[in-house]
Amino acid sequence: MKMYKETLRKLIPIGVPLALITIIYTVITSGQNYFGTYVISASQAAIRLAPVLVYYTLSGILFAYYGFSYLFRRAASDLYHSLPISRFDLYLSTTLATATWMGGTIVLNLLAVLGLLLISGCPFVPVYIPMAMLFFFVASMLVYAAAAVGCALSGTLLTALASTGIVLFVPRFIQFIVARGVVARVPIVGWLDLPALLNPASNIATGMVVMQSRQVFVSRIINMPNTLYSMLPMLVLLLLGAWLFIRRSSETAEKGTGRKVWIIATASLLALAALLLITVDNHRLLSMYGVALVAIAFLVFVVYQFIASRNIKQILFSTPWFLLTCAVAFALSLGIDATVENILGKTPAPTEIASVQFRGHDEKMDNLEYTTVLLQEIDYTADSMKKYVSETLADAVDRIKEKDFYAFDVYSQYQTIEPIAITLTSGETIKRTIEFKNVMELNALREEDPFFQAAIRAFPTLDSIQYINSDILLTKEESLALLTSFISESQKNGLVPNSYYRPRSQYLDDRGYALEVNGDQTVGRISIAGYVADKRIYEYYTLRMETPETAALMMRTYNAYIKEGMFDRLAQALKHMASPLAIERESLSVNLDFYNLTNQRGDRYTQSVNLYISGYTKHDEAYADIYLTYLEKFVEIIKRGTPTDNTDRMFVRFDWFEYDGTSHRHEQEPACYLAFSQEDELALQALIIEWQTATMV
Amino acid sequence: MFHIDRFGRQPIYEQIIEQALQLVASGVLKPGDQLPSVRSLSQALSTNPNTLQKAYTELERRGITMSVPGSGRFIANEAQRLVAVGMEGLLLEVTALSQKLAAAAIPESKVQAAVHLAYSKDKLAAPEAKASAEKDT
Amino acid sequence: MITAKNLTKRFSDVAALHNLNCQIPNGCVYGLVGANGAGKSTFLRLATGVYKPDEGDITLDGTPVFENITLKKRFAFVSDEFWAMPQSSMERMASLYSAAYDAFDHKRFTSLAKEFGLDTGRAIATFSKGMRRQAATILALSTGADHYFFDETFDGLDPVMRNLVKQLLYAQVVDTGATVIISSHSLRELEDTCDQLALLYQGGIVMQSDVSDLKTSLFKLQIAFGHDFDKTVFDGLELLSYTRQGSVANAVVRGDKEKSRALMQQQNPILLEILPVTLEEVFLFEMEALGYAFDITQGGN
Repeated sequence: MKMYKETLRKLIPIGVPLALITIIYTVITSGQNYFGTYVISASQAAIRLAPVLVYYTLSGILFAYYGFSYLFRRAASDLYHSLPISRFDLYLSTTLATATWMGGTIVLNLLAVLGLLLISGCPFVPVYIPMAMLFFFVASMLVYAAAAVGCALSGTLLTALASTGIVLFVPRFIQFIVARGVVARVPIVGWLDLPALLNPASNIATGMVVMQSRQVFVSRIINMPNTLYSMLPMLVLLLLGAWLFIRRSSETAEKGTGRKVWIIATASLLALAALLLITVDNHRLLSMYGVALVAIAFLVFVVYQFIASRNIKQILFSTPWFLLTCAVAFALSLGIDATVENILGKTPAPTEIASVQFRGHDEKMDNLEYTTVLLQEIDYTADSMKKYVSETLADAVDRIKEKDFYAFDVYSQYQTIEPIAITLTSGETIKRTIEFKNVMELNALREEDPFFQAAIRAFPTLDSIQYINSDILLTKEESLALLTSFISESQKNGLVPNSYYRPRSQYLDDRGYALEVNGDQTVGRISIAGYVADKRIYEYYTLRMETPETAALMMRTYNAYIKEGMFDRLAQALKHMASPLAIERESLSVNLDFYNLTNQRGDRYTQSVNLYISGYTKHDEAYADIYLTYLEKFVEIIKRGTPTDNTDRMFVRFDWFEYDGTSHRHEQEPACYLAFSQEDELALQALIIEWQTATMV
Repeated sequence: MFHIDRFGRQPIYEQIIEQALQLVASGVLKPGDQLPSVRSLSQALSTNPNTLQKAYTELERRGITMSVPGSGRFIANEAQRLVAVGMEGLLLEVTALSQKLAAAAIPESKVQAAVHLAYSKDKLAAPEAKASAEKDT
Repeated sequence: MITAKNLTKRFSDVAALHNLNCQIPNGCVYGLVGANGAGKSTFLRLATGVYKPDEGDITLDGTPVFENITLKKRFAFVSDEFWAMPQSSMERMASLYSAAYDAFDHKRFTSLAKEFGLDTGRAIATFSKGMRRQAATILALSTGADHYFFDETFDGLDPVMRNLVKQLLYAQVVDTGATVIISSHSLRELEDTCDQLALLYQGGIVMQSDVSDLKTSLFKLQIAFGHDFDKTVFDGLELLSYTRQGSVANAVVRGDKEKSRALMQQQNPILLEILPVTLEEVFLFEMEALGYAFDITQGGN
């Protein structure tokens, strides 16, 4: 107990600064995130709650090296070993003290985050907090245990670092390289399609390194299975560290690692790590690249041994081990090749398939759409689906084998890539990510499943939604009113709110452009965020004309914000911009979205007109001329508009803003919805066509 | 009371014993006088207590001192007599010294005169020694 | 009593100590002498449980020392190089010691530091080498141990400090029956301080004796005769060496001084002097005697 307190005190120079730095950093960055404008994107995954903790786990090395620093100096080592404390107690007190410092820092950081989340009202998944605490604690202790093993084995700092690196990273590195090799060579297998043991996310050490470069893993790293899985090596390493420490002789200090076997083993593993880089980008071992790597690996092999033991004879005698290492690297490379062949060979016939699951087109993102969460649960067993999937997969494999890369010959806007999981009748599950030519064809097949139909029309319950945003302008109550209206209207009419799953418009106008017509016309957007069980969800709902009551509500809500004398202000702004007084960095932008315009086929469509003039664009006289003219012409008619909530007739969404680049003055007039008399409607339509012609030149 | 010549060749052990005997002989230490404890002597002289202990044990063995449990060490009653007895060994040295003088052709009368000188100096101390010796018997 | 039996310790296949046997009785001040590299530091580290014996054992009252916490609480080790935690002061090191030693006496620590004139709050890195040794000694003396091990520590102390330390140690020896083990390569150092001396040579203890015995039972005898003579005049005495220059002979004798003098006197020499030997001379003679012994055994193999 006394030694524990003494060691706690000893570790203060490491513990306190790190705790302060991490907490300050966490509070500042979380504060910025949670109180900022883009709250919806904050705390998407547990690991982003306190990202600094990812780096903090490495402090396990600092604690170990500082706590066991006496092992590297003869005089210090002798002193500690002469004291009446058992070697086990020395190890235990350092381990417990480190656990206290690291655990305490992690808990404090996450409690600070919790406080900020609660104060800011930002949505978060409550279970993320304790899970993150446990995860980061296990990760930190894992790193510490590896470092402790390194220290116990070594007499100098350098060899301890090498040993720690070996223990901590080499197995994971091999795992990562193999996974990378497979993913690089098989386009239809993505990182998330790999089985659990090959998947770098399952291992804390590589998981956290890999997520820096591959965002796909971020939300997958902190979960209970990963944490529990990593506890095993943590415990093993702690016990190993204790055992090695107890057996360590005091005279090892200042003498490298002393043990010949471990020096050679470390050198071999370091060389292996270098050699494995061969698999990184589909290179062959017998290329120039391969030869260079072998040379580098050999250099590493020799140099490390020289630093650790300075025994030239020993180095010469160890060369057979290097050859063995090369053989192992080669074998691994062949293993990867075999795995790739195996994967490409798996093209099950429909009869071999038991069911298919679609993991969600947004599976790679940090947080999922609510719909995806529901759809992930569905097992598709219809024969038509099995056949479709089997054919698509076989086709993809053929194309890869033929051309060694993967692409469609013709690009169409309906192509989609979806990760799938195929459960075979044999019980095996294979995961692939393949392209489907036509998303509507796929959706049609999926719709045969009643669960699918219900899922794509489902909304999360109101109490699982923590955050609603439609426009900065509107209040929370107004946004909530819009949302509830949208939900009830969609449900009443059995509409599909998610853009990905609703039938896509294939409408082309006379000139061949795709148009959203009639009910498809987009009137606004609402985004929501929250969590369901332990999953963070979000949705961006598009408000369309197909929910007219909601649209009308929205129009009324905005119109209530109309400020008196809007058109007078607009006239003044226009006059100012037209005059020579307007300087370069001043600008005026008028946005007009015309809804329910009718085309020759009798369909209603939306047309946007954006009129922009700035002091700078005025230099181009021709440009300025046109825009000023049309600004005046449009405003002339728009002035006569009246606020409306009628969705049957033509109306315009109108807003404008002025901007002064020098003083950064920004005047935004809130949007409003205006309707016109019949003559004005016709005049507007004509004016629009005139404008389109004028600006096409 | 005692002093140590660290740089001389004579072992400390012998020095202590010799000095003790001399102090008893010259009457500085009388029967019943207490000797310093090993501890205080060791501190005063910066000397190994075990060595001092040995010397003290030897003194006791010779009968010069006796220890009273709980009180310390004291000069024994027969100390002076025993020292005197021990001193008689010095007569041999007198003879040896006289031999040297004779060989150098110094006349015997001069040697006797020298001896006489020593005894006349002792006349002051001698009656006391005689008197206490008479008391004891 | 500390007992070493067939104690062997190897470093990289070279035996630093080989079948070492010795006994260190309680309450003595034990000096271990040996050349640099003879194995003194190794022995002390084996005795204090820093190293583990490769063969044989070293025990206190029959129980091996290594990793025995109860025993080690009675041992305090002062190395020649006092290591302190980075940026630490004596006070900080005291806190480490007291975490390890149950009986650590902080009051004594403070008063000792004052006696030595050391500031316990000051960084040890600023101390001179001598002050560091003093600090180490103070810490050791405050641990409440009853066995103190000094590895060449005394060599670096100035005479005043050395005296102070000796007095403190002697007080402990008398008061609590403490045992002090000191190693040095200088015999002069140990002569005054110890009452037991052992000589470490080629990985083993070749000689161990009570200091007083050594110094009283050996002496130099200088004798001259008017007539010719040879070594036979010394018959009846145990001679360790004999040299003659002209009519004067010098011999080193083991035995009782007075008896030897009386014996020689009978031969009527013209000169007879008895002189004490220094401990160094004693060891040299003993070493020679043993050196011959070693050679003979090796030659015989």
